[in-house]
Amino acid sequence: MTWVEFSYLIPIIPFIAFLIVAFFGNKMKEGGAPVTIAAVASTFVLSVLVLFDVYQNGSYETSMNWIGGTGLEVGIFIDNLTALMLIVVTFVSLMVSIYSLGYMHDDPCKRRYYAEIALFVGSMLGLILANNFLLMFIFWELVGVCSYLLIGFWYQKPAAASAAKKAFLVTRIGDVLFLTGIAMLYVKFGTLNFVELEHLMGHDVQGLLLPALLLFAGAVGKSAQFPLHVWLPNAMEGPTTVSALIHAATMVKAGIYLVARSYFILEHVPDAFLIIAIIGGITALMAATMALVQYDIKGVLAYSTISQLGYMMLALGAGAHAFGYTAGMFHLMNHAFFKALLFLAAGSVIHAVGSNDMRKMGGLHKHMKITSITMLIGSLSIAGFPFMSGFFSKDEVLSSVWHAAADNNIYYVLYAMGVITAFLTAFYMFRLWYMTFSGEQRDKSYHPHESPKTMTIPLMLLAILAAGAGFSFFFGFQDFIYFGHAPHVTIVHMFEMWQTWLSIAAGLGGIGLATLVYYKGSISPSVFTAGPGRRAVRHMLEMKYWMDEVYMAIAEKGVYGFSLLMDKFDRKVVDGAINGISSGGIGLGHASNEFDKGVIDGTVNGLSKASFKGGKLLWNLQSGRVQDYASVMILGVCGLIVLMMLTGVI
Amino acid sequence: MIPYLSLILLITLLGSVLTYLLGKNDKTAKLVAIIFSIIPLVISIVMWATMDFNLLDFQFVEDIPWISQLGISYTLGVDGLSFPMVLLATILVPLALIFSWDVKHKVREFFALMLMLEVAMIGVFVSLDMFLFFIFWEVGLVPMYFLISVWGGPRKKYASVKFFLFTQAASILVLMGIVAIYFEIGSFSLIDALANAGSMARAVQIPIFLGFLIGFGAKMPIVPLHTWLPDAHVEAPTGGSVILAGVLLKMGGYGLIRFGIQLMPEAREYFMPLMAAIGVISMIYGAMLCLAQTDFKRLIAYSSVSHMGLVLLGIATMTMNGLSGAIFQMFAHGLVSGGLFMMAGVLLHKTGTRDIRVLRGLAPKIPLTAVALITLSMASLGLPGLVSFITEVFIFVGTYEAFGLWVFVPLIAAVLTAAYYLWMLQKVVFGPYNKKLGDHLHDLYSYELIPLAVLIFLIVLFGIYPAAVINMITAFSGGIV
Repeated sequence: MTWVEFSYLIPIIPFIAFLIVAFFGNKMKEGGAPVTIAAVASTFVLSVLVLFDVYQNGSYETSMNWIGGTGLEVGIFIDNLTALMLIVVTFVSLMVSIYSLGYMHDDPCKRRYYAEIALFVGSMLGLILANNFLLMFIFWELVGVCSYLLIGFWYQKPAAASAAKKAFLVTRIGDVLFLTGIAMLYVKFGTLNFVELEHLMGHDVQGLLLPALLLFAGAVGKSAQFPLHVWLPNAMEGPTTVSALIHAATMVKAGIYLVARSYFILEHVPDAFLIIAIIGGITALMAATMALVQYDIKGVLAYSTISQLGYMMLALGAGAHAFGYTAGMFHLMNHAFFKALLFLAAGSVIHAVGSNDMRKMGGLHKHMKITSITMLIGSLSIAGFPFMSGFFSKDEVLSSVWHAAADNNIYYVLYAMGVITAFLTAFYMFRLWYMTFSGEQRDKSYHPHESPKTMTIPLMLLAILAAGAGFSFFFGFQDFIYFGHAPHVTIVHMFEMWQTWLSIAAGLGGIGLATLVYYKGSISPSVFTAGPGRRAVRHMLEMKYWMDEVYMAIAEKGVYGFSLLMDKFDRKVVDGAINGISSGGIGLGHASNEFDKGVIDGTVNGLSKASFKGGKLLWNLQSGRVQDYASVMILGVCGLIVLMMLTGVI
Repeated sequence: MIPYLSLILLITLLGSVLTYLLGKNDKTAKLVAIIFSIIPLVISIVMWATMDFNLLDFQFVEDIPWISQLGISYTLGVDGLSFPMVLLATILVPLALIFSWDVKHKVREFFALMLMLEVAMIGVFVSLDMFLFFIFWEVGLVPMYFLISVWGGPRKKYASVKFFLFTQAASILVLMGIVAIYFEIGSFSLIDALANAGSMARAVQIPIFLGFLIGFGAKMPIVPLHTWLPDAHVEAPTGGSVILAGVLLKMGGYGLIRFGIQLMPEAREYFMPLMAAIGVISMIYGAMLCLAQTDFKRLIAYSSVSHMGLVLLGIATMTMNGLSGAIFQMFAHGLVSGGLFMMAGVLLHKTGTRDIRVLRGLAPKIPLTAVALITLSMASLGLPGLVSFITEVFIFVGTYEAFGLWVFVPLIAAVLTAAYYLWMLQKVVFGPYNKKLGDHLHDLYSYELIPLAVLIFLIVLFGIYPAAVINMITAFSGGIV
């Protein structure tokens, strides 16, 4: 007996927790928090056991028929990639749900919160464990709905309700395309099972580009890649813990996972790799530039997530022989740790300050040392400070892109974009850290304090991983997560490459510049807005390249405006024509006459009609329009009889 | 052998009569009607358990000669197409009756007419004689007409007359088609007609099929013959709307498959592209109109136009997946739209309005209502795990098989559908509460909660285990294509 045989419990436990908390949470402590935390903790333990099993015995699959005769099934597939994702997701979710004990302590709707968190985690775990694309899609959508509910958790705020809708709708565009890709694969191969598809793939690789790109379109929506990235910055309207989950574990990583999972298809369509890499590169650089001008502490982190997801896509787009797969998944893991840390630390700051605005902060280091130091570790990690986890994975990403350039020169451009992004990332993260923790408190209207232990302990645990997880690459990771054949990178080898030194320089350069501007003050921030050209650039970044405006115009002026026109068309033209035709022939003239009267005489008339006694109404009908329809009926019957007589049946 | 189908019809008819006779007291009328509506449900579940869905033949066939000179007989039977519709009708009617517990005006007439309507609807689905079919088809109009014109809203006369004339005009085309088939085949028997399907000349098939497409299409409804539907729904009482959207519209889809697709193989090939185009136009046009609506019930009515367009698209693919998906979608839409029309009634009861611009922030005030509304909206927009999702998958797979990359066009409707539901939820459920709606709103009463809970349970059950429904259908649709 092995532990993987119990892996079906991994999604089921949180689903059961969801039901328990949803129905009985009000009667429990903290709105059912212990149930959710215990459920997530047990999925983490199971995931660790599964990881050991998979490490020893290799991949595992179990499946049962779902809809007979269609080849559609429900099942679990666990390989190294699955095992890694399970560990990352369950660990981060556990940290977030423990942290929630402190963060959500005063919220009146805790039951709903913990129920939805359990459902969210369970759906994500189902997505990871699915053994076929359709089942994966089912959980994929459930993850989307949970994020809809959680982003809109404080739904009485109109901004939250609107952000929730935006997240669902924008990702829905990707989802619909994803589903189409699935339909195409199903029609072509008659199965959606990963293992079966992989076998069939070897025989018939024609016409795979479109389905592959449609799968990627799903990932573009879910993982907030350009041009569907617009929902993620608004998603911070939810509680910060939810942001941490979405950004680090349960939502946006699904798209990266999908691309990694689809590698067996992508390897047959090299063009798809290039497109993925280009989208990833654009996203990484563009989002990093937008992060530069944010004053909302969560806003900076949101754009940073988009940018880092772009990094992962960029790596995955570098392809298997450049070890992009390994680099991308390695960055996914490290990013999960440091981004969860950064969001939770930001939550701790917001908890103390009561605002997201960094202009009100400053000087918080002396009041909240644990938050400050853990966030510094997270910032160093994402900025690529040597030997922090982000340093190793960022370097692997850039190195894989450089390798891919041997086949296609476009990758050189993407490499340059990656290096610039690394510089910008280091800069905006330290801008954030200095503005928040160093100097003097700019707004004295509040008294900052360190957060409770339920919040700081998860921060410390995550900080350890954000700092140290990078070394795992040389101690097993690269031999465990790979596609095709494993890379064999050593630390010594890394530092023999000039590219490594370049990325160190980019990271330290960014940190250094931020230090000069926001700590030492030797360069004034006004340099960035000196002159009309720089102001225009800044304005463009503040307006997020006007993409929200363009989408809003399409949605409101375009689609909604057009729908109003169509509604008029339907009432006046279509209905009018139909009514007109009918009134020419039979009785509807009366009805439209009635309509006119109704419109002219207004509601008073209508209300009095509604209060007619039924008997009077029936009488009314008999004396009124009933003969009209009676005549139609008689006409029909007469026609039937005449026809029968003509043909001699009667 | 027990004549289950006749039993269903007779017991429901008896229920209708007894409701009227015994129902001098309102409560008695309601109880009698509800009890008599549950018996057919039990019978249809028994049939479900005993029926062999791998057979292509009709089952539970009853055949009694009636007007033998004309070849008219009282023949009943069900197969993989009609049984899901019978099941749907027997599920929805009791729920609609329970939901109508608060009807105060002419109670026994209301409940008696609802049962009468059930007799006619089930009669349509189970008749294997075309003459008998047409009689049930016509009889079905009358109770619906009165349900709208007596228990309807302010513009009930306009709406009820429009409903009647529209469907009556459509009936004439259906009747002409049936008579024409009779002259070609020499019998009103559907079984004979099916056995000789294809013996009709192509030149005969095409005009008949066109008549059916318009006649049954107006009932489904399809664009541009849909304008009676929003008017009828807005004015109809909630119970009537539930049945109208849930079952009555399916008579159109059923008729089109049975008489058009099954009987006229050459014409259906000819009309495939046209049907697909109308289906897709209905989907997108209906969804666009939903975006513009301010009356919740009108929105749901147009969403029915959109979803029945999906049914037509599925039929038009003439693939096993597409056709199975279309039949399943009719079943699924019956459950989901039935629930959504109940929500329209609930919102009106609670707040006195259905105006989306006025309804705001209901979630904290009436949480159960909000949960039901969110769940049903998610079901309607095709969320996985709920019943409509898998039907859409089947139909889109079929569309890709039949029409290739044209599949991207109907997908626009899938995005628009999400848009109008999310937009509606954002207004109605979320946001700050509109204090003008009153300080205290009562959450779901038990007569509202029970039918909604049953529907949501079935929506989840058939979403997680769609095989329960799809297994009834696949052999049938496999037999056609």
